[in-house]
Amino acid sequence: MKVEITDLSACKKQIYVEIPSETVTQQFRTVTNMVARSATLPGFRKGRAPVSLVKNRFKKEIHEQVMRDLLPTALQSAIVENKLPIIGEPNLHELSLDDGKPLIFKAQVEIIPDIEAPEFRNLKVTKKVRIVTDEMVNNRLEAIREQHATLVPVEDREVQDGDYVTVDIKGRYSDQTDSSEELGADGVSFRVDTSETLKEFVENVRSMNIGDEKTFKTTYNQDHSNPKFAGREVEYTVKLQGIKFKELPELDDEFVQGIGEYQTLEEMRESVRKHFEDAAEKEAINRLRDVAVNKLAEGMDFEVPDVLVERQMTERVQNLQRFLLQNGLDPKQANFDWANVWQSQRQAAIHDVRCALIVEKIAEKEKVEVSQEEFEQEVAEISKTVGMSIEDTKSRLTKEDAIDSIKGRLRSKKALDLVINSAEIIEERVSSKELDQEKENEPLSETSEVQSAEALANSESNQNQEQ
Amino acid sequence: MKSVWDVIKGPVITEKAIKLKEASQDKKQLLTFYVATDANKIEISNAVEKIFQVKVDSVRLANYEGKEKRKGRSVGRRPDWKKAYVTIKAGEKAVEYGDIA
Repeated sequence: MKVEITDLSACKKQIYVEIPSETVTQQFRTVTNMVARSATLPGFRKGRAPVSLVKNRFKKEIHEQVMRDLLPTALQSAIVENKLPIIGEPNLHELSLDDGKPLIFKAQVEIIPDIEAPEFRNLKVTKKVRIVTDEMVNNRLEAIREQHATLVPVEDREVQDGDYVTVDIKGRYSDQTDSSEELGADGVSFRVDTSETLKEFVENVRSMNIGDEKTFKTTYNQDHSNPKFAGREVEYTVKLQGIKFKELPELDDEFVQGIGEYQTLEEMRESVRKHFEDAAEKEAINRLRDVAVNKLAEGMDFEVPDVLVERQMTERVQNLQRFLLQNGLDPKQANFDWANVWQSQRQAAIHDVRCALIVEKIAEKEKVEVSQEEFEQEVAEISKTVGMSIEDTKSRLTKEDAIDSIKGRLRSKKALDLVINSAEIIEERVSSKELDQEKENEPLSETSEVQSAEALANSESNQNQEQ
Repeated sequence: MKSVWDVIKGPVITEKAIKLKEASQDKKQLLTFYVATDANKIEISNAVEKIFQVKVDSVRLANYEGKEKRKGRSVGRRPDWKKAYVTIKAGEKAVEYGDIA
């Protein structure tokens, strides 16, 4: 077998393979004999037809079979012998196979580029930790208070903003004199707040007393989601049945004890603060990883294989879709040109792949290995998040061929930790505002993707609300 | 004009015919053909000589009745056919059914 390898580019190779005619002829003979043994031709009992007839009759099948027998093994051995770290499927062309002639083909393969692991010791990186402000803590406490609020009915005053009211609504179209079409319902509750309820309702209900009745007109937008209302004017009569207001519990030790977990308000405040600080630390470390990789990737400009880039692009789009789904948006309905979105991920994907390759090289150079225990631990963690037993998770992962990818992930994480641990870290405290701004300015990082997705999701949901 | 192909319909390629042909390879070669039901030995002999450019020694014939086939109530018949065993004279070139002159 003759094998020639030519470089097309840093990560693209062409393999030229020639299998001598003797091997080809031999293979043709064995295949034909095999086919003849089981062939059924009219006029002959099974397997009795002469080889020459079989050869004619099953030309195509024999040809294909010979190809199947010779080509993959030849390609495989060519790849193994030359130690090409290929990825993706080889792209075959200029294939020629005939009985009595050598089998010739060219295959284009993409390989993992051979790069030098960059020097990562004494890397200078800045770790930016979000400052936890009193405001954040207070907001959180306020939210907890809100959660434990109770609705208290009032009777001796008129409706104020922020109250919850219960009303009976009757309505009819203004342009229809007969009231054959009844609109509205009894016992409808809403909050007196324009951000949640139709403006007309809020304004008219305000300063009513229980038992009061009021009639007013509302014109709906042309593009209202319900065709029953779109562009029509409706006359509503509202009768106020009840007022409730939200009573927030006093933020004191007693309230804290009532929730159960803490003894004093101070304790809870501390715990909330600690929670925020832990989150900030975690966030900072995650960001540090990104920063470190980006720093390593700086100045390393090498070609990356298209297969990996495209795989990464798909991955990114899938992440985006998953994100949309989590935010209650069906990616199929959201009106995106996914092909375009996919294309737009290319630059980012190239960067991702480059970073991953660099980390992989470092892991290789430093002989980072994932031990069985570490793997078990990760599996245990996964099983916790998906809520299955460890055994079930494991068998499921085995079935989905995910074990290698998990190991790979752990490996690169370990390698990255190595980079960070040997780096010179300058710690810096940054306000939330600055951090968020920074995210926006970094088009390549993972977080920015999530952010842009968030922005998309927001704009979508805003549209929904407007309707 | 009656063409040779109106006489000879095609070779009989079956286990039996192939076996006979191969057994007679070095002696008087025996070929088998489907022929027109109204063809006689002389016509067949002439046709084979013309098609393969060899001298024919003798021709033997066999008549077959088409099988009766039923499809539910209706009864049908496959066409009758005639088979010719043609012996080529000794010393002539070996004939393959594919080599038509």
